Amino acid sequence: MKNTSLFNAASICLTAVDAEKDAPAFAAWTQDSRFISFAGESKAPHPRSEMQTKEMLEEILKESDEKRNTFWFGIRTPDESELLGITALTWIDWANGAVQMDIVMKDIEEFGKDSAAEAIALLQNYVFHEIQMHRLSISLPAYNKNLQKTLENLGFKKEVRRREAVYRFGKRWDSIHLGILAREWKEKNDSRTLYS
Amino acid sequence: MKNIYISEKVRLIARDPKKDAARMAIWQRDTEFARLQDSDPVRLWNVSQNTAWIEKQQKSDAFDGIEFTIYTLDKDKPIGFVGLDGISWHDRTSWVGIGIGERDYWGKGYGTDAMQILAHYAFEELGLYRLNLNVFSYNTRAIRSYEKVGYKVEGTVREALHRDGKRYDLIFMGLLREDFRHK
Repeated sequence: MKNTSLFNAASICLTAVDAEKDAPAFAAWTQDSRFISFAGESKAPHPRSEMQTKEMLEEILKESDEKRNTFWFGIRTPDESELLGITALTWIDWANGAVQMDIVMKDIEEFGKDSAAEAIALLQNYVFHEIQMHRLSISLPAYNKNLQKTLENLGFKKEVRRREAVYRFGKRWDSIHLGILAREWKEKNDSRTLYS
Repeated sequence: MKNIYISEKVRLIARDPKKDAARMAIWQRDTEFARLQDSDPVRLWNVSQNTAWIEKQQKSDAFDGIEFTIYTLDKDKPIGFVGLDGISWHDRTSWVGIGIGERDYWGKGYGTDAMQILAHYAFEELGLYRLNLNVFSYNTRAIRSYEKVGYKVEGTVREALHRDGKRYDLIFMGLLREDFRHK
């Protein structure tokens, strides 16, 4: 075994989400009007109190326990002292082998940093080597350029552009869907196996 | 002013939790139909499960979706359903879904007519800006119908479906209000 954890990278680790403990950090991020929430979030952008955030996270975790097709992870510094973001497999379509993911980072810049890239790379590894799925998708608003670049560096390809699907910052933006297939990821990452 | 829920071939009526539940249970037994409808594994629901499903939709406090039953004008026959779901009021967008459960009415313009009514309702009554849908690559009849209404293909999610041991794509289509008005 080369590596014993699916959840550790150089500058971050993935951990469970804890509604009680993580609410203050997440609530603080939403006080900045530039904060980019989950792309799958259906509610209008708004700042959240700690109480609202805790409820939102509890709801997410409850659904995850009940439906067994969404997995949530906190993105933290290696010593686990700071929450940098939250990422998730938001829909594991077991029958078709298709997975949808989502990610928030504490601010716009963080989407372009190693922390985001490493978290998404861990999810790719998880999707293709742990649960053996066929493809991984993510959608994002076109204004999240940092995230788009991070995803393209990790091998995601543009598949869909929904014209003017999102309203934010006073105008309409396209929604971009990117995807990567297992065989594409494996070509890029053949050496990254846990067992050799 | 005319009643916009009536078009040339069909009219749309609010779904009835009791009457529609029994029809849905019959249509769900048609595997070809069910596989055009949903990417989830095909399964069966009894009449009271279907009733509960429709009632839950209709009792929801937030108006974030609506489903209609499609009736033919000539024989007043219910042939399927059409609706909006996941309306996002701040984005002014919604997702669209349709199913024609009665096979005799496939490929004859009934679904297209229902989709015209729905788009008119979404844009002129609800003030929406854009409609989204997705369709399986093997459902070429539906893709042609959506194009007649003005929907454009906006991309392809590769190999997202796995059926009978083969992989199929998921096609995304979108309709902007301006494109619909100038059709």
